[in-house]
Amino acid sequence: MNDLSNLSGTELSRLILKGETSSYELTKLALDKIEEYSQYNIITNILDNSLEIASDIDAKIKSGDIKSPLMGVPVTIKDNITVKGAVTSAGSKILSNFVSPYDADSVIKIKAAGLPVIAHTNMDEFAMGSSSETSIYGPVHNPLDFTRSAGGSSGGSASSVIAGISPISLGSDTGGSIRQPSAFCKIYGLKPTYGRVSRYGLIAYASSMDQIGPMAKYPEDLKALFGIICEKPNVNEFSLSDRKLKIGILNGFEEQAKPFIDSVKDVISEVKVIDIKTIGYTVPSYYIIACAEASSNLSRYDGIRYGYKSEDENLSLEELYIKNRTEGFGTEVKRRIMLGNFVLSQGFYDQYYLKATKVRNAIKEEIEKIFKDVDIIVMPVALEGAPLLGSKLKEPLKTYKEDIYTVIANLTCNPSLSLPIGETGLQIMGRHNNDELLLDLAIRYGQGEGN
Amino acid sequence: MGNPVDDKLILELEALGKLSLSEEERVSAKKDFAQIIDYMNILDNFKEDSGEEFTTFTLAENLRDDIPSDSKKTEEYVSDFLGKEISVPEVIK
Repeated sequence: MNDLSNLSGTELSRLILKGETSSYELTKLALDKIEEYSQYNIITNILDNSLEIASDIDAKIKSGDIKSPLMGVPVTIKDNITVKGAVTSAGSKILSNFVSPYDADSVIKIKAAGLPVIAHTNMDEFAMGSSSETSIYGPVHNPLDFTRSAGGSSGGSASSVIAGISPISLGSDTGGSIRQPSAFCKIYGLKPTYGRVSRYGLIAYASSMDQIGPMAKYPEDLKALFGIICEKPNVNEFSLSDRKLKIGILNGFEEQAKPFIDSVKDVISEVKVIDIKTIGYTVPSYYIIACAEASSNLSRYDGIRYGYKSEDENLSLEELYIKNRTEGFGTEVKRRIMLGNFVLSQGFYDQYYLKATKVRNAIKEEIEKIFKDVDIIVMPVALEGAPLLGSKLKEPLKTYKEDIYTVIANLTCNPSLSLPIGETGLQIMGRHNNDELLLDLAIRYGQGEGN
Repeated sequence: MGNPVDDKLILELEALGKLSLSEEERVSAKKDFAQIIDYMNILDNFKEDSGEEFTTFTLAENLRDDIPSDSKKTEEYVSDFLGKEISVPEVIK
């Protein structure tokens, strides 16, 4: 039999249905892989009873109770998505003892579709970072090169896929956190349209941009997993069979887009070079809004009702709050909380937060205008390839600026899909609710010269 | 726009965030904040906004119907707790 870790999830599920393997066997292999890659810090915690759950799924399959095209395939989940009965820490000390009493909506759907959830994956603390180095569990090492970052913040999810632990994983994307690690680990990742996947059970960072999405080694699996977790839109999307597409490539990246354009040329009517005039304002707007929302969302963590609590007992309530938060949060999280408080504070609110929301609206209007002329916008994911571990933490502003191409889709709520092209990856962005169109294009790319 | 970052501002932001930085962290935060806020001031150059603020509610036309369904009963939520995750320690004696 082929090495099972190289097969797609949909292929593995077909093998299970044919009786050539089982969910139990695949889950056992996944747990062995977790052990094999333990030095890479990919996994934060292994979920209890995953082998028993896999056996139950096998029994259902034998009785003909087939729920999805990925039934029986083990899946890993980013550590900021709640799984009932499991520690869900968001990579933070302040939630390191938090056992979730409920499943996130997307996890409920995955379980109902017959996929065994096997482990939580490592990430930047509260998804604040782009190298998966700010976690309490230590930095994630890229399985393609131990000395390099796997990207972030969903670096553990991307690594679990490329290491062969699971062919699919769930990540979250607030400013590129699915697409950038997907690019660095050479897999596929989708940041869905804002609202297409429920955020219930996602530990909040910046609520107006947070989005759960699928990550996979093969685009067919990406589409199948999205089909399981997504909400149905109320509008008719158009598909590749309706008409040919007009593609807009961001000026300067025509050569980088060539492998993608060549592989989908049959469905293209026109290729244009486009400019995004507001692109220079995206990063400052993003960080003002994200930090503002983060400072509000993270104000709930005080260590009183749940989470990390200092052992110092001789403190007033106010002092206890400060002690718990100071010891519980890492440097980057503290920085963003303080920046958020700054842009929201009296005297600075109009100049920073209010201005940023207006600029965000202008960016959205420009992207909408571009989408009147083209169906897909093509641009790189990152400025450069996977960096060496340790090189990202000393200069926060330089690191923020590297999010320039990914934050656009979060600011405008559009779907965007990262393709494993080149060192920096290539993303294709579509109109709102055109997620399935992007997925079909990714499958075409995968069938062409991609794979 | 000038850069307002000084020692007093850092202390105020610590208080607002219910945090307490070490001296070393304060020095580092002051340097980083000065650079980051300088960079954020780029937005002063943007003059073409319509005055409208961004809202995700403009996407409402694309949202699915909001169909209410039976919510989970309180007893079911209570049974989800394993009895050890949530505790309310005594903080005022």
